[in-house]
Amino acid sequence: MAQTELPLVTSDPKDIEELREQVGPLVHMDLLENLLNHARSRSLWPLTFGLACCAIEMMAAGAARFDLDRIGAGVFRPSARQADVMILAGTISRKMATPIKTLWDQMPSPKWAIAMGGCTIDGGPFKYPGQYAIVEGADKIVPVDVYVPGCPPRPEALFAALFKLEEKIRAGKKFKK
Amino acid sequence: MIADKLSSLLLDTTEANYDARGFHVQHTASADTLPQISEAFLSENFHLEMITCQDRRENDDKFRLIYQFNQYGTPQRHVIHADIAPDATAPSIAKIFPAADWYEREIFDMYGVTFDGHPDLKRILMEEDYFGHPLLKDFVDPPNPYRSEDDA
Repeated sequence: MAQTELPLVTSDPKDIEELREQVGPLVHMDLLENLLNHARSRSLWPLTFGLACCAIEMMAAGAARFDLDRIGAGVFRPSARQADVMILAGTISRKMATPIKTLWDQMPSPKWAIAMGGCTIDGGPFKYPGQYAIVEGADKIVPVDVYVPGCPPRPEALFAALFKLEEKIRAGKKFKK
Repeated sequence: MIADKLSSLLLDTTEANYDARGFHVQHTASADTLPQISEAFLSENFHLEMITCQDRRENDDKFRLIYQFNQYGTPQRHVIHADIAPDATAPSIAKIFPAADWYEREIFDMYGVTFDGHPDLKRILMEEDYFGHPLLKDFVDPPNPYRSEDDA
């Protein structure tokens, strides 16, 4: 790269921009960010929150036989203020859309969402032309990170989704949307 | 006996074949006698199984309310049909059978039939600011952001 002569003292934004390009950032936060992301991915706290029959499978995943605590995701928080991940488990009715949006907004960033089951992917068996009752897909109200197909998905599938989410979190900014 | 108590109230009673229809007796009554009918069933230890509605405006310009009563002693399911005009109100039986409370709210939500004397008649399944009554035959849900088919 051709080095251009830059003045030692400058306030011209153009010069500063050029300086940045040549030198790069002065303080590297990547290591700290990686460490934080690692910690985040190993302690995903889901919101205690079930919508329909998939929630039964989510509860099974949390209970002793499958035990979400093994991967640090078993601490279901009763308050949205303490939760990291929203597992949307079940059909989202139109009436429930507003409370879900409120809960999502109450969760502090960084936060993630898992759409569990066919209903939260695209409406599943309740979708037909002109239907009035449900929200056809969780991504119509919250930004979803991982989709889990199944009706309902097995607990292992929910585990796979959480592993996928962990990968995504650990990848940090390297993860391309 | 329930038959004696009902005989003065009901317009028309027919025995039904249970195996074919799923109920034992069918009554056709006027909507204003529903509270008295409910009182009669309650005094004979019946419980309310369900209330539902039919939009029959295409057939005879009526809404048909359908009540089912049954009892545990001698199983006998009574079905009561009560027709009302589309703009009329029906009497609530929520004070007699508390189970009727949510059924009447559901019918109000889905068909727009109002019940006189209901303690808290508001929508139960649709959001409270919803505009229409989805189970009416001429109902069309306008495009909304919750449906994929309406996506641009």
